[in-house]
Order: sequence, then structure tokens, then C-alpha cells
Amino acid sequence: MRIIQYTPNILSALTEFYNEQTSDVPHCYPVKEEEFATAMKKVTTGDYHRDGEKHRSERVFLAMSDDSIKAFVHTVLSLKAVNEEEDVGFIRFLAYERGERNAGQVILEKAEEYFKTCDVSRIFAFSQNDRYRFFHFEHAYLSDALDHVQGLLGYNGYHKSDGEVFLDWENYEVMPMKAPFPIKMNVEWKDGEGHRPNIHIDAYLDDKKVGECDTLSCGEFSSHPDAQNWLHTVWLGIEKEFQGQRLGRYLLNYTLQEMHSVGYRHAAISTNWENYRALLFYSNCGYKVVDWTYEYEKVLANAPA
Amino acid sequence: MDICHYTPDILKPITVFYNHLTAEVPHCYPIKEEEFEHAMQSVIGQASNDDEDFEDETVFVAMHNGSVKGFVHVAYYHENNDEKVSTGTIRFLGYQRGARNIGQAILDKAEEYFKDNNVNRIVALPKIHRYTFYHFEYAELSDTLDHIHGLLGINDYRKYHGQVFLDWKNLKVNPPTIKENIKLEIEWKDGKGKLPNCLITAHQDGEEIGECWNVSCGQFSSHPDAQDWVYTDWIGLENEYQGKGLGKYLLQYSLHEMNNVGYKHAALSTDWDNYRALLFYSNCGYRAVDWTYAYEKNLSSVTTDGSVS
Repeated sequence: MRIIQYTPNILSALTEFYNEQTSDVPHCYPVKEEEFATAMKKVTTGDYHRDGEKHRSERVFLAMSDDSIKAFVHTVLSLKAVNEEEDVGFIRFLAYERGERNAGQVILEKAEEYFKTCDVSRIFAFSQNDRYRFFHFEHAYLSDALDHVQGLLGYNGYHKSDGEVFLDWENYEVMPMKAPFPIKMNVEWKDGEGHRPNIHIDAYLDDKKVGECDTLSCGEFSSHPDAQNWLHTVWLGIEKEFQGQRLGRYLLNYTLQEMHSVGYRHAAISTNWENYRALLFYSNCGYKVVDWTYEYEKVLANAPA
Repeated sequence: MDICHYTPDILKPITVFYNHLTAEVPHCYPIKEEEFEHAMQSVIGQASNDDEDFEDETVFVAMHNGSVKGFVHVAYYHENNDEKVSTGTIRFLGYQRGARNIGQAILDKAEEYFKDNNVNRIVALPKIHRYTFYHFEYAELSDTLDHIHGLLGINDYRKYHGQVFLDWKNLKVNPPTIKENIKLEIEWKDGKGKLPNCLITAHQDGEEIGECWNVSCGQFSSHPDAQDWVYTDWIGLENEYQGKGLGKYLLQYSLHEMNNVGYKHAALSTDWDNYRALLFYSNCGYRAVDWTYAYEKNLSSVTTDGSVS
């Protein structure tokens, strides 16, 4: 087993490896090389030199056996200037071939060794803010479908620090519903990366904004044809005093209808692992859970108390 | 919608409801009425299981136009035979997806029952009280029943234990290289399944150092689809023999034997925080198919305004 750093000449092989590793993860559509290249854009090579290092730098290590990839880890170093508290290391992504736990262990140790030379005191793995744009949908952490990666992280002292649950509603159908009170909807269509547009809706009562809903085409995350009929509601918010009056349901219903009229057929949504209120709402209105995803954290010995 | 106690005349609609509810839960095979009836025996006072030591047990059913929309199976017992400490258990809770008001109504009914019986703590879907035909041994509330998780969560129940299930479909195992110094003994035992259960023990120098207990999934369900699954219920090694590849040896040997006798698929489970086991199983052929959780709620800490401190 030999460890190398990512350089663009390995893009093709790494894209193929990534696609194999994520083929059973919900909403991971096969990516093209040029899409994978966007995630590698800021990756640099070489040893760490504190003085010369930027506030944020990325490196990708690969474990090779003969000429094939067995594992890779994408590290992000975030120095104090950005994060006031402490230097933090992020594992943006880590994958290893199922059955090759030694390759996984070697690559994880390589990442930790690198972080330690940079005096990092805390490591986050699969943070949602750092996810590959084409990995799963918005807000995703490490998927339950990658149980062998979860096993590796847990075995090495990482703990679940946050979670996001994903729900799908395939071939969704919604009937118009009556507004709970006289609401005015302000609909804004926006062209994005997908074949169909994204939508932003603001709900007004008189002149007061009481809610909003942001929904994206899943083409925003992937160029794959299968993603184009999916929408992902990334934000649904109701002003506190108007909660619990079916306004959220009305706004979501309205959004889904609008999106259906332009050709979307499947809906996805997600919520934080502790938001049982949202889980109860979504799971009773047509969505079903398809995946739980988790962020992992490891505190190293030199962490500030 | 009416809420009533379970009586044998609704056995049919409640079995239909249960099968519909669990249709997408891994390893929940459709059950026959007599299987569900068996789980209800202790409820209608025909307790057959001597090992159940509940003080009381009952089932509340939500009915609408002759069909079941939800039900909750409750019981309570004294911890350590201390009559002052009563723990309530929700052995099962199900409601039709989309009918959250019905779910809420039966859960309220269950909590009323617990309060009437001075219960201090409620556990929901703990593995020790599961229906024998629900999922496989040690299963708690499946992630696929997300609407029930949501209901428990907004009612201040919290996860206190979890169990992750892994499957290995179309099992293919090579015979292990025999370790000369370890003697393995096989004991086949007839159970409820079509194929036998199997206990394998490992010995060294005349001492037993480990064992692996494999049961037919026919033990849990009479359904034909369950019969060619084997569930590894327990694999254990004496402390000093751990971490030496013996667990792998024992499992590989077991699976190879199971394969030979006709089992096509294997399953097992481990605790939610046993990452060592998860890493081992997920790299040797199994894949996680379900995470299940048990919930708890402490009633003693509920303040008068209903919030939990």
C-alpha cells in the first residue's frame, strides 16, 4: 500500500472510484470528471509549512495498491484566523473499498498525522457545510449507507456530533388546500444549474412576511438526468407567532404544486436529527425517511479546555 | 374514532393492520392471525409465558368503521421487585401513516394508563419486550417507521439504546483454514424453523473459549421467506482470546456450515455504539440495512406545566 497526494492526472481514476463507492447512497448520482474536478479545485500538494499556509488549505491523500485506488481522504485545514477558538481539521470526504479496512485505517491515520503536524485540536468529518456539492442533497453528512466508513470512524474515537435525516416523496401528488388565513404568496423563479428552475416563495399576511420556502432543483447538485425531476426543499420557515396554524403545511403544499406544474415529479426534504416536530410533520404528509446522515467529531489531546 | 381494549373479535383487523404497517420494515414478514393471537395471549389473561413478569398488560386499539387505525401495547413491572419503582413499557406502538392525531390519541391513552399505575419511567420498544415476529432478535423501533419516531420524539421520548442490523444476502463463504490448536464442536438443535439452529463451541486445551449461536429466522416467523435466513444471535470469546482473529474464524466456520445445510442469507446485529463490531461485520460481507432504537421518558421529572426538566 502506498500513499500519494492528489494531482489532476489521477482525476479520471478517482472519479470512477468515487462513483463506485457512492452508488448505493441515496441521491448520489454518478458524477462526470468535470464535476469531480470542481471539488478538487482548491486541493494543493506538498508538505505543511505554517508560515506559508493559507487560512484554509485542502489536501487529498490516496491509498494505492498496485495502480488502483483503495481509499482516499479529502482534508481541509482551517486555521485560527478563520475559526477564532482553535485550529480545526475537516475530513470533507473519506472513502475506502468495502472489505479493505486496512486501506481505510491507513488513510485515516494519514489524515490525522497531517492534522497533528498542523497542531489541529479538533477534527470534524463529513461536515454538511463542507460537503461535495454532488454528494447526496443539501445538508447531508455521512450516510447510513456507508456503514463501513461509520464503523471506521467510530472505531477510531469519532463520535456523532450532529445529524440530518432525509425524506423522499416519490411521484408526489398534492391537492390544493385552503389557506388557514388570507395569505398572499410572492413567487420568485430563479434559474440555476438544473434543467428546471429553483423557486423561492414568501408568504405575506397584509404587509407582514410570515413565512418563506426555498426549494431547489436537484440539478443544482448533479448534472445527471435522474436528478432533474427531483426537487429539494432546503428551507421552510414560519414566523414564530404563526407556527402551529397549518401555515407551514400550506406553504409547502403550494410550493409542491408550483413545482409540479413545471415538471418536477419527486420531492425531497431533510431536517435536523433532533427536530422530531418536523419529522412527525413530513412523515405524515407524504414523505418517507430514506436516509440518516451524521457528522462525526474527534477531539484531540491538545484541544483547549 | 373509538379507542377500545383489545378483544379477540378484532384479531383479524389488527393482524391486517400490523402487517400493513410493518410491510417495509426489514425482516418483518407477513404474519398469520394465530401468530398475532399468540402475542395477545397474555393481554387477554391467558398468559402462557412464565418468564413474563408484568404486573399488568393491555392493548388499546383505535378503531374507525371496523378497521384498525392504530394500537399501543402497554405493560408495567416493578424494577428489582421493588414495589415503589414501576417501569412502564410500550411493547409496540403503531398508527397509520398520515393519521398523526390517532397516534397522539393512543399514546395519550398509554400515558394515562402509566400514570394510573404510578409508573416513574416509560420505555418504548425495548428489545427485551419485542414481539417474537417483529424483525429479528434484539430489534427495537426501526428507522423505517419514521412517523412513529416523530410521534415519540415530540412527546419527549429520547433514544437510550440502539441496535444496528446487517444483512449478507446470497451468502458465499469459503471454508476457513483450519486452526489446529482450536477444536470446534457443532451441535444442531431443532427449532421452529425449517432448518435447524446451531451452536458452535470453540475449545482449547479442553477449555471452552468461545461460542457462536445461530438461529433460523423461522424461529421468529413462519413465513417461507424467513426460512433460508440464519441469524447469528451471539458470538463470544473469552477475554484473553479476543483480537486474535478467532471471532472471524468462528463466524466464518459457522456461516460455512449454515451455507452447507441450506441457509442462503445471513443476518446479525450489534449495539449502536459497538463500532468495533460494525467495522468488522461491514468489511466481511454484511451491510447495514436498519438502525433500530429504544426510547425512554421519565415521568417523575415532568413538571406541572407539562414540560420535562
